[in-house]
Amino acid sequence: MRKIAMIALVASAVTLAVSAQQPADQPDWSARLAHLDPARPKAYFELGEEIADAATNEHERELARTLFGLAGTLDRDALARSSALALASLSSDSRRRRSLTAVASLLGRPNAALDGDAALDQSDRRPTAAAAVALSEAFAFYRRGQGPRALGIVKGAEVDALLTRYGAGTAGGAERFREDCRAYKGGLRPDPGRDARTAMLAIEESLLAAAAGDGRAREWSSVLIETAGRPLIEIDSARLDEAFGVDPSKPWWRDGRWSASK
Amino acid sequence: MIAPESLRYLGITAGAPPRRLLGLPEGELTVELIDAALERQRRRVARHPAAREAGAQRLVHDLAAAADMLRATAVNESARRGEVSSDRASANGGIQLTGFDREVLSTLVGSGGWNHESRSRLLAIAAAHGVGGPGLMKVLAGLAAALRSGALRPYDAPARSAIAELAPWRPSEPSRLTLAFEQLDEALAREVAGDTPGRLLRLVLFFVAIAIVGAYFLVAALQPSPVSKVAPQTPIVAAAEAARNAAPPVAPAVRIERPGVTTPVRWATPPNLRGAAPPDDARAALREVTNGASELAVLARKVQVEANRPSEAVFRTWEQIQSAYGRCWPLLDPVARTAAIEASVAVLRPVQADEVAARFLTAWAVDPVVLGDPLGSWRGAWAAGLLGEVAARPSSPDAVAAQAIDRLEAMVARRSLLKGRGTTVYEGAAGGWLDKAAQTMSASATDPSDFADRWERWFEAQQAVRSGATLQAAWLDAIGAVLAGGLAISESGPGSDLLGRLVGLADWTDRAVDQRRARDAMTVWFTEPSLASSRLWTLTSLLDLSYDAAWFVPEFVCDPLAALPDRGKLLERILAAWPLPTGIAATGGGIVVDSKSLERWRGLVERVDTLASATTSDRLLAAVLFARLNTAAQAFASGDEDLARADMVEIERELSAPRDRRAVGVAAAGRTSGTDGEFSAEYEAAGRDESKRRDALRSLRSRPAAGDLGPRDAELLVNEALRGTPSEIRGLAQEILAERYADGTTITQVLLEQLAGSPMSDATIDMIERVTREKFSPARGVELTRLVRLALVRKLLAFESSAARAEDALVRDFAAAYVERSRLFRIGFEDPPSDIAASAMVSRFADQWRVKAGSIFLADPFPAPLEELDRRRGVRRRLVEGEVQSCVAEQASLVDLMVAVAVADKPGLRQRMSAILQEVADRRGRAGSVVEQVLESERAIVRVYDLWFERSTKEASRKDGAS
Repeated sequence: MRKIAMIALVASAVTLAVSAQQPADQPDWSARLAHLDPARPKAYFELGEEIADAATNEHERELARTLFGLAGTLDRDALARSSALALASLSSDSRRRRSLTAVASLLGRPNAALDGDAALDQSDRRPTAAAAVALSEAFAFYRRGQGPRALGIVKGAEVDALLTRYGAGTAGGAERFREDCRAYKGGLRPDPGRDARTAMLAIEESLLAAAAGDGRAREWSSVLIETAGRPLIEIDSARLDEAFGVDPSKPWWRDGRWSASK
Repeated sequence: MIAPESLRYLGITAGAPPRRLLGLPEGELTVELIDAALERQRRRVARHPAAREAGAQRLVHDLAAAADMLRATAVNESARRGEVSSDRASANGGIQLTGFDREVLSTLVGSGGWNHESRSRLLAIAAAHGVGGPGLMKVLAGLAAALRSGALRPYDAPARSAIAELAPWRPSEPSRLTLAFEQLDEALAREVAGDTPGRLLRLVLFFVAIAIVGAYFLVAALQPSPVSKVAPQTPIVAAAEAARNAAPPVAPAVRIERPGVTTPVRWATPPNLRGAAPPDDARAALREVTNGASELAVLARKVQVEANRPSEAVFRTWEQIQSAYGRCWPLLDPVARTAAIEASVAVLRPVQADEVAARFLTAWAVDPVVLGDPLGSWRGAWAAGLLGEVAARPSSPDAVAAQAIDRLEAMVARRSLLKGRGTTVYEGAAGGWLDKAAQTMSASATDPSDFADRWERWFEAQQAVRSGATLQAAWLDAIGAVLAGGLAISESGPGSDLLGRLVGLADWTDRAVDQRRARDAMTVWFTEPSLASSRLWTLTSLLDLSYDAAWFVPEFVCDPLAALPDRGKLLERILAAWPLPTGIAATGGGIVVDSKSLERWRGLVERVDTLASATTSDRLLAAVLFARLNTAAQAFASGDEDLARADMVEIERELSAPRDRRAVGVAAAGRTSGTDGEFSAEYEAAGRDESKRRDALRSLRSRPAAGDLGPRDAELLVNEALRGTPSEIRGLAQEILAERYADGTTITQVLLEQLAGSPMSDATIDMIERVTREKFSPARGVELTRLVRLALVRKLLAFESSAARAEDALVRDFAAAYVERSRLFRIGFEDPPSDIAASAMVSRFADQWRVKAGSIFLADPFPAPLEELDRRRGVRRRLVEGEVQSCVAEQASLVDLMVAVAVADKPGLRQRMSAILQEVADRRGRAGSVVEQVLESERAIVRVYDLWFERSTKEASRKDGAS
């Protein structure tokens, strides 16, 4: 209940913000929104598409998302799957996008193929062997007191991204590592202590193993470093309002906000 | 709890009335009927295997008492009838005599009144009517009173007295039929007289015709019968022998073609394998071991004295005695067998040397090759049993125990060694070996001549070490092995005979001690794609033939060409018709567990629930403990209560004193030798002098107990191994590093670090391969560098104890719990590779549940149709990122499938199962880490099992009664 209230609050705030910051040259959707009727869910979807197409700012995109969400929850059979896919296309967060495409897969026809977008493209996240080796060597230079050499390596975009991703598991993160590299130079070796040294080796093992891409099973400790222990996306196609982030009990656009009363 | 005697011996519930106890129908009873019933029931008790127990005597006594009671009632009833007769006579001045009354009066009249003759006859008549002596006297007194009072007169109307039937003769009018016969008689008399030529001629012709017909039948009768020509001479055997050898009565096979019913396999005689009695060799061995235990005791004293180098004579005697025991142990009584086992184990107790232990243990061969011997299954089982005893006893020396386990492991699963209630380790190990042997023996009938005998020995050995549920499991496993094996079973021969015997031995009825196991076995066979439908055709035909499995109707015979989905549908119908186990209510279902075990299990769940879960290790530990609790639950479901209890003991131990897994499998690192800098100083002092540098390097090789170097020396040695010049120096440095310092942590660390930016020649790769004991070919370029660095990093980590190491050890325990659970579940189980990943194992287990869910009838699928559950599983799999998430995805699908099966089993659970699904989805959705999701999923499985449990019915009723 609290969640729904929160969603409604956020939706209202967004709506208010949209109406408050409506630039003068932007189309005014209020009249169209006021004509929406939950008895005709398709109209929500169509308006959502129009707004999404014309959206020039985040507020409009948010309005489009709400319209898609409402359309899907108001007519689950006809519009939920399309709404999920539309919402996924509007999402900038990869996990959210995958979650929504997975919901779309579950809402499809029983024998329909799974939506390709639902699958994680592992190659996107898997480090290349070159980047993994480069970061591993950067760690080696750092440990030998050749910080500047290590810094030179992590300047590369891919290695830098890897460092940011894998460094999250270390004390101080990637930034601290970069700073230490600047400090330990000319053979001045860091003495991080046994646990920190082991943790660095574990990170090195994880990134070198992750670059393999041979599908071989790995120790969980190594995988947890690689994935930072991220949980599996939980999908519940039975609770579309939560999945779409809308409150279907408030389908009327009244006075610049979504309302429960006509 | 022991069943009441009446139930145990006669199948009659306790407290049944006397009439039911004696199996008498409703209606009038006579003493004769009662006596016959008593005798019948006594014979049934006497035929029971436990007829010699005290319970049988008590039951016979009860039966006699019931018969006495019924006799008295019958007599009273008869006497009452007599009184009623006389009462009626006096009251009404006329009586309605019964048939008995009339017979009594007739006898008295016929015998001239009351005398010795009439008394005997009257007693016989009374007995025939179920009336005793006192009853007869009452009837006589009543009749006499009626005669005296005049209420009964011998010449009364014929309908009222037997005496009155002796009415004066009156000629009666002949009937029309009589007149017709008289006329015919007269006509024939005239013909036979032959007083006219025509009549004489007709008479002659008649006799000639009679003579011709008579001659024809005479000739036909004297012709030898074609049947008698081919009929074999029936051997003259004693009636008892004939009865013993006779096959059980079998209804003649009638070929009935009905639509929708598959014609079963037909055999000339019902398949049933019978081997010969044990050979003379076994009896000779039995004679050999008459004093076996005392001979072993003598041997034990000798080994005590010369434990590390026993003489050849000791080994020879040991081998002879063990060989003899191996060839006859099923013929020994349990006391003699136990003495032999104890004495054998005692001989090995002083042995400490590995080679001596190995020599002793060679007497116990468990290799399947022993099955080539006619007594092979006895020998192998004896050896396995003894190896199990030696391996399991804490008093066994390490040298013996370790080798015993090694020898056994290939043939007998470790869980077979668990000492269960009412069983010994010997019985568990020997039984486990026999199970394995069945697979080999059922592969083919290479030598049909002694096939039956070998199997007969196997049956005898199984029956010597097992009973009840474990024996039932052994028969079912063997049926599975025969179905999967290569024996021809659909035509008469050794294969069908063996299967027939096994099907006959297994209990398919509602009285089966482990009916769930039989149902599960049937599910396994029907859902196993590699098992041809023709094999199931034979199996179901045998079940159709079985008198015990009366519920198995011809409609359940599997079509030999049935496709897998059709088999699934047939299986559903078979399982639906399968009678409920005795004692389980019709609405029951669920996993039946005794209260004590259930409370213990629930107590452990509560303790695990309260464990701290702050770190990844904490969460994984809780997940492992939940996984083990789920394994214990599956053991309950599979009827393996001993294993369930053993699992719970392990969990209690872990909860009381959690193992520190941070150092599990840590590799031993080489020790630093010499003083750090000593080698560097010597080497640097050598300058460009190659010879001195070589000498300095050689000094590293000659250091005693060298394993690692200090940082300075390590830096120099690694540098020379990677970049040293000339190549001879580099080669020497590489050789020494790989040879003496491969396990040095400092050396390995320096090697990893100096490798960055160093050239990677073949010699360098070769050195690193020796250091890491890994092969990198055929990798090249950056992939080669990645592999080299990865190997070095892993080698360094192998020296360290860490939280990550503990986590990985916990994950292995988690996977092991799933392997055990999967094995217990049986359906679709295949031995996994030893290093199987946890997620792969969970996935396999979910697959097994999918098979189970697919095989049951889901009238109202819950939580969703199976196709939908498959789709959800597919979507989850595609969302997975890494091994741990993969595990969560499979666990989530497993929960769905378990709930589907549980609700089909107990529809009343639907609402609560729905709540579990909702809760676990919420918890997974809220979880901050994937390990938390693993924990929550495992917790949900615990909840599913918990709801599924049922307290055993007997206990429940006892508790209800008490309350």
